[in-house]
Amino acid sequence: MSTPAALLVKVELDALKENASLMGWSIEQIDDLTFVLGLPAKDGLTYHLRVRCDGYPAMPPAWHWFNPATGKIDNRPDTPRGGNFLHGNGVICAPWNRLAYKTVDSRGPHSDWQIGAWQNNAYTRACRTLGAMALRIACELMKSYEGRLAA
Amino acid sequence: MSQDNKSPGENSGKGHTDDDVVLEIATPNGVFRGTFDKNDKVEKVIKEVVKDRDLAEGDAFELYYGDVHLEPVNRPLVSFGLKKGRYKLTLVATGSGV
Repeated sequence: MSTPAALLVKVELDALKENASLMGWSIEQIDDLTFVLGLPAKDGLTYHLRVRCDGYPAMPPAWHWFNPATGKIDNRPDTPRGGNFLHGNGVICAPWNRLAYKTVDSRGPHSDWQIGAWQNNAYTRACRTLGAMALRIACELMKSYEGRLAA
Repeated sequence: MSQDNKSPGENSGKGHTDDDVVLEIATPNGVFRGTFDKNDKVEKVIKEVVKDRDLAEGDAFELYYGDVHLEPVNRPLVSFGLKKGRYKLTLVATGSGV
């Protein structure tokens, strides 16, 4: 039986899959609560994210940078950098990313945010769905991106 | 009403002209497809897309053509090089790293 999180992820992934088809992004659903998304950066490289949505939307998704060839997450060479969003700590710095919270991930820049209140965090703005979050990341990979975090 | 199953331009309610700009826009609620006049302002496009895709009208969105942010929104599409033809855009919720 599907969980509430799985049902919501299914609905929101349908919209995200439409966008991926239009924009030429890769997307693969791993299970009810996990998917892998590939997005282009402005230098032509493709960055992948493995996104875990357990507990969503009470908790924000965990947007891990991912290497599909090795299966590893959170490796600095597979991680883009640029501005505050593509944070030098190796995580996307936004209230809608679980990894931005110090209480969840030691790399998380924020100990001042309450993870359970992520949807009401003023910095979340309209990034309250998986589709909105993915579009923001795609945008930052074109706008703020400065290269890989590590060679 | 969703435009998902309609071909580009079906929401315009007018015949095609040399000023038609066919837009396919990835939005937080899936893809919008529609036709606009090249002299239509960006703010009009955003407003129509937000309504069509059932996005919250109180939320703020930005329209991008690749890495080009179509702002200020009171400029017409043609001023950003969008003239007769078909284009893929993205409608992105405002906000950045904090």
